[in-house]
Amino acid sequence: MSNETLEQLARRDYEWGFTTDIEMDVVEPGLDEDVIRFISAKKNEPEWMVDWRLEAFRRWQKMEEPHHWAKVTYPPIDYQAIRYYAAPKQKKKLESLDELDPELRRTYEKLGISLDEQKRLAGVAVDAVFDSVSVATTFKKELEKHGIIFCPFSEAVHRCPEIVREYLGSVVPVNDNFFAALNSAVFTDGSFVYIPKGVRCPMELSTYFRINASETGQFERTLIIADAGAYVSYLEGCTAPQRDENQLHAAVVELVALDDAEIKYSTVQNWYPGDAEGKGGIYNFVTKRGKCAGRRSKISWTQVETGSAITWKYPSCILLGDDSVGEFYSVALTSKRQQADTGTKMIHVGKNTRSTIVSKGISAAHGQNTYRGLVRIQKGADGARNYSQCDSLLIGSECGAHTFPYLEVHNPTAQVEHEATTSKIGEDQLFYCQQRGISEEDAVNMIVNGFCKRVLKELPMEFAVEAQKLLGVSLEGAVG
Amino acid sequence: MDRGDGRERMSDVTSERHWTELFAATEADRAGEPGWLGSLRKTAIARFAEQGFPTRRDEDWRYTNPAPIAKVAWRPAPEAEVSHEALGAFALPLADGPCIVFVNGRHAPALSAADGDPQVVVASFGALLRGDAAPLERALAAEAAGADGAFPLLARAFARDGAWVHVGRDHAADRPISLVFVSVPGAAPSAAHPRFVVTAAPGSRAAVHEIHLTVGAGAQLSNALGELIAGDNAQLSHVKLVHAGAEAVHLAKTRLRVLRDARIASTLISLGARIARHDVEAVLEAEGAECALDGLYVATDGSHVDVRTLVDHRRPHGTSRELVKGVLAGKSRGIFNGKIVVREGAQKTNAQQKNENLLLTRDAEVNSKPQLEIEADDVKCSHGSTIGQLDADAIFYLRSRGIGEREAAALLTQAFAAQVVETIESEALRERVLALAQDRIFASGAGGVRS
Repeated sequence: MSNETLEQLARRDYEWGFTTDIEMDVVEPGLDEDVIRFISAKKNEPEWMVDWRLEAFRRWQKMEEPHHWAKVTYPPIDYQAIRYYAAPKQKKKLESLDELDPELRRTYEKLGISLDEQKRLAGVAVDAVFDSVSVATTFKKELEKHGIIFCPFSEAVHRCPEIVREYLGSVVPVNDNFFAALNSAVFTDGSFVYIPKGVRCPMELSTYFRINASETGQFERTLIIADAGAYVSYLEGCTAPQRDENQLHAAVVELVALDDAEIKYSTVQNWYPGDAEGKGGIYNFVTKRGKCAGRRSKISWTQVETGSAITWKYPSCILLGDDSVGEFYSVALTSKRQQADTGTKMIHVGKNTRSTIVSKGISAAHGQNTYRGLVRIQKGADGARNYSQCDSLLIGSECGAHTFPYLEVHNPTAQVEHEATTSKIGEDQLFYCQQRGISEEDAVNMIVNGFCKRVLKELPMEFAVEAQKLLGVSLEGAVG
Repeated sequence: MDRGDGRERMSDVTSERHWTELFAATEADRAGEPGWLGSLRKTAIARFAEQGFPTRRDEDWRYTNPAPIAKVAWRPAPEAEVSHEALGAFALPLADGPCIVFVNGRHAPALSAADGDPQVVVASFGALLRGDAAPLERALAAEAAGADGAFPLLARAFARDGAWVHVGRDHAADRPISLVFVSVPGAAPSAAHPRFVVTAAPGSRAAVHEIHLTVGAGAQLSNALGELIAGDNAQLSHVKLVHAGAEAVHLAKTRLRVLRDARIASTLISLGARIARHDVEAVLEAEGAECALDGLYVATDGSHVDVRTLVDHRRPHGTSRELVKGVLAGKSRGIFNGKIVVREGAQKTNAQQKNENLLLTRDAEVNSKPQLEIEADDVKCSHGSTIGQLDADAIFYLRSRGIGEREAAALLTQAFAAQVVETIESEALRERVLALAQDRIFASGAGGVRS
């Protein structure tokens, strides 16, 4: 492959790098208990919520930032230089989407999420989070008919405090890890979903995250609860403007599936990855975990990670209920100077629990891509079954692909299989395509898409199309 | 990632001090040694004092807690006598070729046997020091520049003697060379540090059998450090057999250095020992190097086996293959921690790794961590790991033909293990190892598939 094509690819611009000029309500950079109280006051939160945050903050102060094990490098983060609250200024509470700041609406239109259109087209209900706060939730009424609660987190605290209180921190405890503790202290908003017993959510729920303001960090929190027999498919997308500084995104996602419930969580992550020299970009340090608390429950994670300077996350499943199922499908693409250390943890506790892991890593240019995963079969998990497959594709001689699975088996009736391969796109495959009049770049795109097919087919249709496009875009210029 | 109980830092500095004090106290024993050796030892103990023992926070010791080994005040292994008969009881085919025996780290000439082949030098470090020590000095200095680690540093500082093997240029040694390290535990926990350096000169060919045995019972630490070097176009086959006592602790670091178009095939058989940790590092230093690693660990009640391998592809056109199998019975723990590294520029590398584990009982446990670290793009690498139990259909098949359940299980387990044992070239050793492995498997009541 020619070096020129590769270079072109690496030079390609980030299409979502614009900023929106909007009046913002921001807090000065820095973090102390007052900032946390300020955030909490802004949200009009009850006393218990403030205490919960402060408890998390105190624990966080005693924690050490983990540096020794992940295969990612980044300069130290100054947690006092981050603004922990930034929100578009709004004069009054909105009654309908039409009242939303037109500038804000244009931003989402540019991103391809027209809230207007969403209203008409059936299918996806969107909760849009702009910097720190949730700005619009569509289809609220329709969902309410089914008893489904889908609203910004800050609203849920008031609407159904008992549910929030019961589940918040039940999957990712405040002291789980450094970034989760930070999030617990300062999270500003996020999405909350509750699907009542036996309800199959009639549409895909979706959140769109956008970081706009500079020097801010985004700390959102998502909590999804599927009560017995419920089903929900949830999508998450993200972008950020192009800036020279690194911005921290430390979110926490908690999923709880009760008896026979199923949650399908899909992410297309396209935060700004930084430029070809590695300047700028988002640090995507996220804690995502689901608990299959009930029998025969199922949680499925699908992620397409193409953005961020550093992606560092392990969407995991705790398989507590007997016969519960955990799935993880991932495509992680690193190009430019991106780094990714991602994978999953499948903790088998209940009997006859099953998990599947399919991870596809693509490294191009100077990208460093690491799969790190844990499969643990606890002593009582009779008949547990795991299958993992982790493949890596290398494009270019300066990138790296690494696979670090951990398999811990404490039960002889378990069956655990792990397979991994690493290779490059075959010359003969490319030759075959080119010989049939397909350009080199199209051929690479085609092969990459084929390589990822098993994961992409898990995505809801609209997202699958977007993900395919994204893969093509991120690879553009990386082929050589 | 969660490290469970591994978070605690070992603050017990006294365990490091034990060794530094022991070093000072045994100064007199080493009085006659040349200056260069003394300074190598001093550098090693100084580095050990500086870095201290690892803890479970170190990724390489994640599943084997070094604290129980580190906190014991091991004394230098006492001088001990072993008879031909005691050694013979193991029925190892040692008479096959040249053989050099060490008992508690001391050369035992009476048990060793020379070979008429002038191209094959098999000597103790001590004998070399009395004659021309220059090659030994070069080899040990080069070896000291290699990988670190608390236990190898202790071996460098304390080893009393070692085995030296040199196979001459373009020479094919027709009989296997045996290096035998015998542990005779004393009343108190004692430690010996078996060492060896095997060099196959360019174009040569040889087979080396490295055997670790325990005679008698008691706690003993055998902290081995060895290096095998295959020069350009040389071919080395290496078998390591550990047949240790129930209270023995066996720690080993083995480095395999493979030069241009050379090949090393190494088979590890680990039987017995309360704690066994094998750390094998294969470095493919030049183009066209090839390496095959095979391993079998059989862990029975109360034992813990940790196999760590690193295959380091530094230059293009390297090939490596690895198959490590584990059979775990009783309350035992097996760990496989294998890594393949392909350095930048090591194009056209072909590397494969496989780990298979058989869990026979409820209390057995396996932690497998196969890893790939790849910095070059034109490579073919894969790893696989499986953990499971005996196939119920296969057992049923055998039972339907009148074979009892226990026998069927043992038969299948043996077949599982045989794939590794069969890589041993020497027929006599292969037969013996197969018998020993079978004993272990039967003794573990492998029959006992859990029911």
